[in-house]
Amino acid sequence: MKVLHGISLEVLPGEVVCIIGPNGAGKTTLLRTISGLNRPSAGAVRFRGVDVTGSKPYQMARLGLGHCPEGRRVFQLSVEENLVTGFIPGRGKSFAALRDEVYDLFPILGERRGQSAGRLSGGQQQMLAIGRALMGSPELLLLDEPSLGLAPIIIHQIFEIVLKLAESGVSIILVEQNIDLSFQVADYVYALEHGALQCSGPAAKMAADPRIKDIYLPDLDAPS
Amino acid sequence: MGSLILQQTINALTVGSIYALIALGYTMVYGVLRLINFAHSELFTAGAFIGLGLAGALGVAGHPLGGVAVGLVTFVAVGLIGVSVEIVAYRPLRGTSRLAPMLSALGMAVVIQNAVMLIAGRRPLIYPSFLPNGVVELFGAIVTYKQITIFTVAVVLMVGLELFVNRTTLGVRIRAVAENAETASLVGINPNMAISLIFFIGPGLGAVAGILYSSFYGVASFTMGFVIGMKAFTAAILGGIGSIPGAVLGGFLLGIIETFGTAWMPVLTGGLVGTEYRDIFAFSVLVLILLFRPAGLLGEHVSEETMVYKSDF
Repeated sequence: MKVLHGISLEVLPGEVVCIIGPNGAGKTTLLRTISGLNRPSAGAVRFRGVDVTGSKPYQMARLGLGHCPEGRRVFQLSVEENLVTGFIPGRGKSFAALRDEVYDLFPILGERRGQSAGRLSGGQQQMLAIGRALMGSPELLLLDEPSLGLAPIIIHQIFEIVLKLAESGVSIILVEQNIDLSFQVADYVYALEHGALQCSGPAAKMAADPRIKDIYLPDLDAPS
Repeated sequence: MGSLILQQTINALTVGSIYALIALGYTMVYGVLRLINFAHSELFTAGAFIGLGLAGALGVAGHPLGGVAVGLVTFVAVGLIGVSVEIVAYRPLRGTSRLAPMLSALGMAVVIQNAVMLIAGRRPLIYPSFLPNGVVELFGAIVTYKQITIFTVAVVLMVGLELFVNRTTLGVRIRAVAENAETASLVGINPNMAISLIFFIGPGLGAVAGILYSSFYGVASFTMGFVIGMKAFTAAILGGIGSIPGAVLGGFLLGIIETFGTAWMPVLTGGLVGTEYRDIFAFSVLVLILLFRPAGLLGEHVSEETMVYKSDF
């Protein structure tokens, strides 16, 4: 079944790109196509200028693509074993160095390194999913609804980490339902509807766009 | 009386060791692919015959140390056959339905069984024992060195497997693929690497079981895999298919049920039911466990998830 129609999307190094759109707009499908989980019927995926269309997900990961899937999908292993699964040898840093970086970023994971990931809270599982993706030293990180089902304070923590990662040079594609926060962290925003691109532009410009305002940000100028 | 129970326990542990080693192959493959590898029982047979051929070629038949070398080479040889079977018969059918790979597995069982028959012949062959001779008496029970060796080899292999799966990076990756191949691929693990490794280790263990089994009973025939394979499969179900400790527990438990059941049935029924009903026990256990506890003793709940991946991984 064809879900996406003629979408063109570009991410520059260290940029945070946000994809917004209602349920069923094709946001997750777009991420899955970039990772190689779905094969595009037409079009191409280029990573660092190289055509990688048709690559398997593990090949994409080894090239430097991190993907935190929808629903986090941490393994029912210990926290540290989850990090082991994400480690990709030969990408520069050692396992121990990357693991310590993840524990510095998310100290709670370090405290619970021996625990089963299934017993972590939703927020901690999201942190673990991000940490697991970081174990592959990604240059581009795909985050599929990291805020889903989390308390506002945890969401803020996670978004701070996202900004921190972007500052360190990691490019990020963020799929989000939380529009307010998305516009705060994004450099560039793409709005999808029914699998097609509705509009796109720099976050500041998009936030001011009346079409976006009407659909996604009605609260901003709701009649009182 | 006490020594009789002890004697039967020892016999049960011997046959249980064999069941457990074979059951591991069923459970590991199921754990990753949700597939019953019906060809596994025939790889057990192939192992026994490859071991026999090697022993003849090397001139080490009946020699325990030669048996170690034969066991190692056979493990690798049958492991490679297992890997090839997956690539040829199961991999192309992945992502279709659950039925197609199962039928393919049945087909592979027939192919391997017939290949063994064509090469080794239809008649049962006398098998040179690789196991040391001798007995020790233990509180009135007779324990043969053969039984001790079978149990020891099985336990060493199981402990080795447990350490590999739980303590090594490769083991962690295999468990990740078993849980969710798609997510494992997303984080950089090649699921086919893990699947090939499973299809190397499982049949390898089954092949060693084949050598031990034939050495113990002194005979090998090309049809011997079928019934013992079904019993090992029962052991895997009993313990909880997909669970490695479950396969070990199920194997030993089935050995105990079968041995004690067979020994006591004639006594309890006044000779009406004799020891020829040995096979009844294993399959009664299979029916009962499927009726009352389909997840097995250590298995996690079995849902109707189909594990048919709609994506490329």
